[in-house]
Amino acid sequence: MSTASPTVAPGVIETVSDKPQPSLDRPWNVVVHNDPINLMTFVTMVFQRVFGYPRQKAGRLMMEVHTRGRSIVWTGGHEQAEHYVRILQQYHLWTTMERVES
Amino acid sequence: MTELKLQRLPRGRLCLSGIDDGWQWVLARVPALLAGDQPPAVRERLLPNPSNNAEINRDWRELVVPELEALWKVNYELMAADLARLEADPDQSDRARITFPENHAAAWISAINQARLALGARWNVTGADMNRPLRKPGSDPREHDILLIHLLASALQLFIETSP
Repeated sequence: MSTASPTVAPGVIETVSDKPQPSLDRPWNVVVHNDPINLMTFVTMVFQRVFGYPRQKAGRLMMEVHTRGRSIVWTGGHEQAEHYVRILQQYHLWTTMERVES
Repeated sequence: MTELKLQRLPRGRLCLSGIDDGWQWVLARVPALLAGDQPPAVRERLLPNPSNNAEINRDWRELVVPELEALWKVNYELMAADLARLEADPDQSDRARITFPENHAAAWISAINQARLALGARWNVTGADMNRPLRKPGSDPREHDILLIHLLASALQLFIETSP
């Protein structure tokens, strides 16, 4: 446990802005787009491995990619969304991220 | 071409067998296709911008893309190294086999899938191309590579079903 003293000088009131940080306040969607080459079995396997989704959910998301052209496969914080985009691109899925509409 | 077989062996090894001359050529194409610079269409498909935010995309190109390319290189080089250890199959005189640690399977899956996608992007292969009956490739290089995409799909499926 840290025992460091506060760094704010005595008499100085430190304020934290409560103004929302525009790039961080809203969650991000991780979106997988359809492509004609990737095998359905491969895409399902990747969703299971990367997110730990059960086979049924992974298969449903894969079918959504296939039939609708894209699927939101995960939603959450910016840093974690970037992590998932990197992993899914590593598996060669066509993956992007977009901020959730307010 | 013969039917490929992938078997799990004791002590965490895999054996890919049924490799005739045709399969040797197809499998050897994978690392050969992926080595070296790729055409812009292939790079755009394999390494798309992750967002519509210019700053995120710039950081991505600088930090993530080199990492992904390095990882993929390790994978296809591992597959190439395994292919170099092809040996005659004592059970089938006209075919070959390879045994390798099962933890190489992820590298094979990555390399085979990447090669399929690279070929698809190179020729702008569509869903209609993939779903229609195969044509005799003849001297048409695009048809030739669509056939290759299908053949590699059967190898990839084998790895998906069999590997841990």
